[in-house]
Amino acid sequence: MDSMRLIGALCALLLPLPTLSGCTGMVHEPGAQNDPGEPQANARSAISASPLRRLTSTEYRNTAQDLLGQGDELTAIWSELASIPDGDAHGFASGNIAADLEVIRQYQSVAEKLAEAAVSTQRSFLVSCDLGTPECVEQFITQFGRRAFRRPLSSADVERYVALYRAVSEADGLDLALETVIAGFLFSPNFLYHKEFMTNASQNSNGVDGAIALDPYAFASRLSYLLWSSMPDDELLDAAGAGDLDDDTGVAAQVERMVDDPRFARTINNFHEQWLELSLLESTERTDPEWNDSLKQAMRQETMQFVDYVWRQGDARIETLLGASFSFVNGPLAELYGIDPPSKDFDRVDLNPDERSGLLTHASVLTQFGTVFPEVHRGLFIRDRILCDRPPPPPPDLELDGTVSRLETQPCSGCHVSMDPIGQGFAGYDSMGRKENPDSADDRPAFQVHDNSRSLDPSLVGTFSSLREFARRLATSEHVARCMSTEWFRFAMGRGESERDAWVLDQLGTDLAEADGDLRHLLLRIAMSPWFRARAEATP
Amino acid sequence: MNRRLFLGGIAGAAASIPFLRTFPIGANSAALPKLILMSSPNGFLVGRNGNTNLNYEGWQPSNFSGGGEVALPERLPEVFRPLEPHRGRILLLDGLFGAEAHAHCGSAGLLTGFPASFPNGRNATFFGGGPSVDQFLGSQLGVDPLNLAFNIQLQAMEKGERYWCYTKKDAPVTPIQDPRVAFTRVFGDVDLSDAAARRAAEARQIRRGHVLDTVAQDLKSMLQKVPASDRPRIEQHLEHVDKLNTDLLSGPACADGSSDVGDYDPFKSQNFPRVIRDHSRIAVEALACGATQIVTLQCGHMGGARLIPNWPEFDISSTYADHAIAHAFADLDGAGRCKTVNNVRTCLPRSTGITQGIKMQRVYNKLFAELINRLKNTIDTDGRPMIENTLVAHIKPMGTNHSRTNLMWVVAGGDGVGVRGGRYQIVGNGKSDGEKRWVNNFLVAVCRSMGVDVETFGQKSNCRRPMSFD
Repeated sequence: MDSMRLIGALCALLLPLPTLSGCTGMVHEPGAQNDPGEPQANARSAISASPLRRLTSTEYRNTAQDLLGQGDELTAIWSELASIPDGDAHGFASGNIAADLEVIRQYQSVAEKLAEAAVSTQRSFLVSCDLGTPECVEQFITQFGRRAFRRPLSSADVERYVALYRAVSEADGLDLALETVIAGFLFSPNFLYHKEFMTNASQNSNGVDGAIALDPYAFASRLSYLLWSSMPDDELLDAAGAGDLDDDTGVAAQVERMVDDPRFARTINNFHEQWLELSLLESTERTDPEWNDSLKQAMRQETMQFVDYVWRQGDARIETLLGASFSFVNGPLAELYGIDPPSKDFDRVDLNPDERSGLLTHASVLTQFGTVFPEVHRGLFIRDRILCDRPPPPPPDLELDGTVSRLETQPCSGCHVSMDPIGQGFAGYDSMGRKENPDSADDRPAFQVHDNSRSLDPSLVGTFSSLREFARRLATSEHVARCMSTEWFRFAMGRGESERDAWVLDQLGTDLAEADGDLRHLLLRIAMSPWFRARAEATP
Repeated sequence: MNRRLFLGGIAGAAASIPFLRTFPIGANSAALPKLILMSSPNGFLVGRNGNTNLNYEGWQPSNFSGGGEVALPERLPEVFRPLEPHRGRILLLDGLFGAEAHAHCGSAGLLTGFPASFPNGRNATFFGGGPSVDQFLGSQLGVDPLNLAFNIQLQAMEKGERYWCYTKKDAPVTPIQDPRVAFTRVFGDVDLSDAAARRAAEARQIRRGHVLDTVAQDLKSMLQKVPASDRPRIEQHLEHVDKLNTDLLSGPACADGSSDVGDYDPFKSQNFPRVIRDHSRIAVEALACGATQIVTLQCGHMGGARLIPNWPEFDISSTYADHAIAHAFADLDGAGRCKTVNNVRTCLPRSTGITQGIKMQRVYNKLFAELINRLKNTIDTDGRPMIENTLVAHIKPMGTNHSRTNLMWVVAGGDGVGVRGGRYQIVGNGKSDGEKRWVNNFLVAVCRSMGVDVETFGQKSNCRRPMSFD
């Protein structure tokens, strides 16, 4: 990332935002301690409660990898971990559903296997002293535990895990004791849950009604799961312990460091994989002659490499994400796109801007939303994930006659008119995203955006005769900026939004539009926001 | 006695493992009632009540001429033909009415009798609105249900239609999708004839006990800190950890299964028949050794959107998933069944939808028939075939034209669970409120067959038309 740009963005963010640490006003005093430049509405605003949630499978995997120094090679364990179900927060994984007995068993199994692998292959990474001495055992438990639990252990915690170690070491030896203690840490609720209930009652929420500030370690975790999709590192935990996260300058320094870290790529990957529902591509089974695991992988890699480039080397703008006429392909994908293959797999290639427009026409997206009912699902993708205007599900007890037209018959047409005419704009692409008649100008159907519910920005409504025009209109729309803000809010908070969050989303959307759709600016804005450092007060 | 000492005592004993449950077979003692609920995606191609030119009669016995019931003829309707060897055991129930209004959310109501619950809004994942009948019966009978499934798409975060079992509202039960895990759960993973392996396993159990004790303490500590609204989640977590701790005492439920499960990818469509057969074998053996009385066997995600049949033994090879085939059968959404390959646009015509749809239903019914056969060939504790004491049901989430009306389910069993087979029965009519037979009445009948006398199950207002299987 261009660090000068980042610093500039951070500085710009620092100016208008009030600080947490500098405030002494009562939480419920409207307007108290507000920065004069801050809209008064903020002081009367609140945020919704964030229910207790587990790490998602992806967060667990990243955390375990960082904690244990493991890579991707433990495929069987990662696969088992991936089968632990996540909940759903408006399309983003969230550990917001209760863990049933089978899930707890799976956690136990994964913890045991990871611990066994760690002691077998990562012992020197994990332990640097002689575990035969009580001092070393306590040192290991204190240090490893702080990382695993993302906060310092209490003395009672230390005692408990030392006791666990001793109980096993006496019977089974040091290595099995180490393995058992690691399994215990990984199976502990302190590892499995986001501990956002840990708050700092001595700090107010600075203008966020009914909220209470997270304690520094809880905030450090929230920050690291937003920017790395993983645990805080030692430096971030040290900063939390030293009080450096109590003021905006300290937070900005950490944010700057974190987005420059390679781990930032995980969040970019994690967000877009979920936003574009690419995990479904993996389980898509087709029998087209070209369809195989390597093509699936190539489609996924193209998209991941593209978003990584746009975010970490490019301008991170919505316009580029949705409108770029370049990508990163290998031979089979080049053939699918009807271009010459690059000299090296997944090198950057230029594409015909009349046919390809950023993510909108990636083979991964067109396939993922084009396998079943393509005009519906491609239209729904735009309506739902880019316009945040998802139509309701079909009405109950709908008995369909197979001869009806979705667009001409009520009640179907009421909703399908908002999806299908958009999806039909992609009719020139086959179900794997290949342009069917690339030379035919006639084969370029229009994208029609209707707005029966009057919920869209009027500039988005109408007929767009070309892909390029449609993409440009999307990319420059404030409505799309607000939607992207909403999607990132859902991802950051692990929950859907409610009316109480509307002021946050309005503010983020406006900011993003004013920043010319710079999504990196959006992410930094979220990280630096007072509401992101607080949680709704517990209901009695 | 302290649990650790108890386990330690076992570790030192040379005698047979006392905590492995073994039931005498053929000992003429009373047999417990048993339940297996199997599901498969979409519906049984029931074409009735749709547009008249879409009617398909292949689900209905040829000798049915109206009325409420008819004895099954020797030649069963074509989709049920694999069940012919068990004709005298089976009861075809036609005309049930689903608890959930929207068909594609129906899976949440099949075993709960409640409409789906949408805790995160209508557009998010839905769950059951109450406990499912397997979990309810498990709690009543004091047994742990064994919940098995073929890939229900948990990894892909596919919305809805994944879970059909719930401990309570919004609390889904994750089934075991890998038969190897199911095998280990029932039979353990230790060769009991190997003394060293046994000792190692027992030492591992002791270590697990220590971890569970530590984690339970962590949970109790966390319980003091979380807001009241989050406490139930931690309390439930603690209950599960306590349960694992209790299970350490009893060890694996059964001494040994007939054979281990091979090494294959249980999440691939091509392995679907193998997964269901492995699960079926484990399920029946688990019933036989007394590990449980209740099994659910879910043949994949209820919408079947990614279950593509390429199973040579069943003479079916398709490029379309079960869901697309079901739509083609009902001639729903012609364009949606189309795709373009090499610039050639092809659609799955209704005729192909019918051909492949019939084959798909036969596959499911063949696997159901094999399950019945296993029960016939397994001797229960009363010396009779286990099918006599087992209520087996094949449940589908969809009825006429991909809706909740006219759900058709199949029941099999014997007198030990009050099943009188050899019949086709119209139990309700989805068109008339007064004649609707909600699935709730089926669930009440299931409870009674299992010896648990209830008046209602799920939504009480749906339980006004009682039914039985005899």
